[in-house]
Amino acid sequence: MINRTRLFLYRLIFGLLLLGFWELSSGRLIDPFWVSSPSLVFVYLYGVIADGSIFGHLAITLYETFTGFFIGAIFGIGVGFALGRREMLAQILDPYVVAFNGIPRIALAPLFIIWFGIGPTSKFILVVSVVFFLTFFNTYAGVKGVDAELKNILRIMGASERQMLMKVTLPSIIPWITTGLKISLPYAIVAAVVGEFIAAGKGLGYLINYNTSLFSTTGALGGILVLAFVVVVCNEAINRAESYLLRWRPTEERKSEGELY
Amino acid sequence: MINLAITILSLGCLSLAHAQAPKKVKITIPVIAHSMTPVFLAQNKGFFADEKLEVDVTSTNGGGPDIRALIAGDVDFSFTTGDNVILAQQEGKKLVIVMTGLNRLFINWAMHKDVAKSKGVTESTPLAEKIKALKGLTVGVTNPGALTAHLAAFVVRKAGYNPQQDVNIIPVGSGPTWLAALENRKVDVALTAPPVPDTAISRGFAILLINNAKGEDPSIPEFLMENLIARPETVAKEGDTIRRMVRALTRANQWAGQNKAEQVADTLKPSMATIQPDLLLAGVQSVLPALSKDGRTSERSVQITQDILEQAGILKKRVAFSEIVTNDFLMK
Repeated sequence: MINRTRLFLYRLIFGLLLLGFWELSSGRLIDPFWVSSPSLVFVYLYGVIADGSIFGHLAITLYETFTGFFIGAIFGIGVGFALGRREMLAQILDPYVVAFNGIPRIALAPLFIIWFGIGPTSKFILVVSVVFFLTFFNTYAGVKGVDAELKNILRIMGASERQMLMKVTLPSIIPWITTGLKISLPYAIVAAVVGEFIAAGKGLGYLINYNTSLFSTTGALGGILVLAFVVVVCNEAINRAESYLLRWRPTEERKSEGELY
Repeated sequence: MINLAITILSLGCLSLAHAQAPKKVKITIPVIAHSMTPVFLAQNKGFFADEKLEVDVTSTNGGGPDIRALIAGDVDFSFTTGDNVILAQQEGKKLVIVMTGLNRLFINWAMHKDVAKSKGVTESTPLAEKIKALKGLTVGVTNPGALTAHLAAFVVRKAGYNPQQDVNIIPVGSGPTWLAALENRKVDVALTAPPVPDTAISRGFAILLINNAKGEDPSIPEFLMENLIARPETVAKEGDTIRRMVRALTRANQWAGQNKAEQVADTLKPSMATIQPDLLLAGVQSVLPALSKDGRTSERSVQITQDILEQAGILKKRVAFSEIVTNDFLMK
């Protein structure tokens, strides 16, 4: 088992090696017009952080992402939980859910702009449509996968429905829900950025699109790196929330999961 | 001896067949619109075929990927706006304009009818007053960094206003999203290439604010609107192919100038099948005056294009005409 400091060190070395390879290959192996270089990207990032211009874009993208993420997650978890406990309803709605999930949301993005306007609303509705299905399917699978034997034992012991819900169902589905949230977060950011690509006056998607239009690979990669950083930070936040919610689990199990992800 | 004669004869036949086989050429265009008239006419009237060229035309559904495909070497030519060449040069990538297809700015402004009414603006209002009326309004452009965005910033500054302070400029996408944004008053004014503004007008929710296609703005008499662009390697090694391409496109423009708009619209139909016939014809009538008759790229058009980019605040250093343009391949 690797301790946290060593793990951090290994990750840092890996990251530095990647950056080193990028820096050395830019201008030698690959035309910098296409890939820029880490040094140029960091100079760009320093500039936009120092003058504060990046923060307005970041705030808009985060607003669109998290508004959509929370609404989508609440609906996804709620509907997944409800359908998981109502077999009949789940069977009736199954073909519709499958059909709606099969629609490529990215292809819907231009339509969302037409329907909901060019402001943040169209972007967070796009995010909702992405997050909903990912959290829905995970929660639904979690509810369906609750150990029936455990529920029977509790029933024999005279537990009420509420007690079964609090002591068995909810703790069992939390790993499924957190997995759904973890998977959906990067997709939520992608959806917000795609919406901004199509029509927006601000946001990281707008910034990347703008720089790409001006052939500034450095600016575009700078925006992309900021996005990647946001994803890593958010993922870490969800990991911590998961650890907290699953604190009842045996320690060894939690540790091994933490190392894997 | 007989064997040698047969071999020589075979080689002769092969080289003859090779000489007669059409040269395959790949070209990107940013959109399927009236501004691509020279390419579509050259294709549909057989001018490319006359030059023994088999031209594979790819639309990239928006500016940007078209020119990047050219820079990457995926295609031989791009027929797109010349500002791309100037901006690519600024980032260290040299491209060459070998011909001008449209030498006039082909981007029109439309204003929502309600806004026009409240501002007291009509299509016949003098240009200076129309521009002054932009104060406090939101102007929709297609994309950040697109020509429409640079042009909007240029016009707003020309009126003495500050973009994003006195006049809000926001990207609204192209085609349907552009129309929806204007129709639903998400923007008050919007600009893009015909026939989209014409569609807004024909649907009754907008008026034509500035008709650049007809040369309404005298400060932009010429522009690098649509140009045949090549890489320097192609210019150095494929002179004959460039000459044939330029000849075919110039013949297309000359043919359009000698025929009625209806005939031009009919010829464009196979390439622009999704556009309604009345809008197709209206667009043709708009584009005809903008078609270059000889394909020559003028110093003035380069200068004005750079003025617009400079005013928009995205051009750091001006480029010399000779660095990005050659007129050596034009028809004699």
